[in-house]
Amino acid sequence: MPHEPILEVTGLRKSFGKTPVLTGIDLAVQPGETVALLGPSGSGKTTLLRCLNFLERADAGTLRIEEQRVDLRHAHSKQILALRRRTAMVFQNYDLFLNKTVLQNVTEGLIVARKVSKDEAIATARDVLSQVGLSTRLDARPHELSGGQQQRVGIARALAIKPAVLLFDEPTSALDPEKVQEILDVIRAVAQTGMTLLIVTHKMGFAYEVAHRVVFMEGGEIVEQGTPAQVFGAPKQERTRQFVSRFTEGKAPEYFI
Amino acid sequence: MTFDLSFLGTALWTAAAKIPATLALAAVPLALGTLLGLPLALARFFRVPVLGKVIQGAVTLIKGIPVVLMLFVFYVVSADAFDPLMQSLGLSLTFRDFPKSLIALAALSIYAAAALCEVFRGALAAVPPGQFDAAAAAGLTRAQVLRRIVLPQALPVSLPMVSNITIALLKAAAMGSVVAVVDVMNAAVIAANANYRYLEAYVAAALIYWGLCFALEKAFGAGEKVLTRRVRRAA
Ligand SMILES: Nc1ncnc2c1ncn2[C@@H]1O[C@H](COP(=O)(O)OP(=O)(O)O)[C@@H](O)[C@H]1O
Ligand SMILES: [Mg+2]
Repeated sequence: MPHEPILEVTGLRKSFGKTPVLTGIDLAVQPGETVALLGPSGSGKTTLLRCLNFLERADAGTLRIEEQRVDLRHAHSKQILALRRRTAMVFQNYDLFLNKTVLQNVTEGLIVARKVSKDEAIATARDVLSQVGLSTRLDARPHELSGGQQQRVGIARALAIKPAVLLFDEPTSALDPEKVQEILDVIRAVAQTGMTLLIVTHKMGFAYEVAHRVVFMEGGEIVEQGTPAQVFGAPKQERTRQFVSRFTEGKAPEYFI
Repeated sequence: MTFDLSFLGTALWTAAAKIPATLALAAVPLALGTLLGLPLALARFFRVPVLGKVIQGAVTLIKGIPVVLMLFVFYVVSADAFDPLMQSLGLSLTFRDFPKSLIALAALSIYAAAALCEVFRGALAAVPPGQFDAAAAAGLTRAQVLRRIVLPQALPVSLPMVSNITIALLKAAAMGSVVAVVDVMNAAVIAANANYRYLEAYVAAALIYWGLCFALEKAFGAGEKVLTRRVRRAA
């Protein structure tokens, strides 16, 4: 890749109590790149994303996003806030603000955290909401929406702040099966706008088609990374081979679920 | 002994005149208790080192003491300390001039702070953890997370318990008699003593308390409805 990475993490370690969960992660993401983070349950994918926006405090490592570089262990609250404002996160369980309307969910981070004027924030919110396919029901509360609609709002809320890197943690795994494809289509469209995406997903077909690069994690470390064709087609590591074989057995890549 | 309906009316009238005193003895501790209890609950909820444990211990201690005992202790301590303090300040005030209702207010406020601390902590725990995460990830400061996302969800949850505590305070205020504070209950007792008719006075006090509690429950219920209507959990 020709560019300077937009996000670069080195030597990230994290334990919960005495249990090591991440054992030295080095990862760089290029501007405009879509990176799919794969790995079995418990391999530390969620923890890695949460360390990147300080929802978890890592034990060691450095993180740079754009021109801001911090020590993950010792960053103080001002740095953390500034760094968080360079990323946005889409959660597995949507986690929309339950006391806010659809529109307010999207404007909150703009008006409160970024001091955007109310009118400007509402205009941006309407834009991103229509981008994710929600132009009505802007005054609805989260509990009045279906899971698919809630996740559309979750994505709009993340898009609105125009983050340097957009983090997704299994954005479709809480959805009804028939809603999964719609949301994947929304994310695919976002990826095609040239935003930088880091996506934890179990949707191998989606990772194969949409990601520029696939990163395979297991046991708290990155085992292998490469283009989808490399990782799915010709994995170098035995652990990767075992993991992807569960999805590719007897199938050409086009037919991945 | 006959039941003297006309004295019941007199007692009602006398006791009702002290409704403001009873309400103040509930409202002021409720307000102070909230002002104190909410930060204490936050410190416990976020497990602030040392402070969180200290608060936990203090709350357990306070809740293990009868309110009336706290009133006695406060009375004795302030009776002992007041005159020397005033002398050292060069003031010619004695404990006689000391407004005893302050003792009741202090004891009830401490009781309220301890009770509300626990209630608010429970209400904070009822907010899904994802709400904290999503708000922080959106770039809100911790104060903004609390003010704009968490407390608007936690406080409606706490209202039924706050209502119970308010009613408990209202009734606990009757114990103010041990430090010579006159509320609805004590006004009724004074009227009874003066006329040697006790049952009528007690019934009058009970009627007033029932009325007050009924009105309070209705008011809190309405408040809860308004607040929770907009904060229902997502399915
Ligand atoms: N808050 C936590 N406290 C203790 N252990 C945790 C916590 N969060 C995650 N873990 C543990 O860390 C490991 C990695 O979890 P996670 O990052 O959620 O994995 P993944 O997202 O890949 O499934 C798991 O063994 C999990 O049990
Ligand atoms: Mg996970």
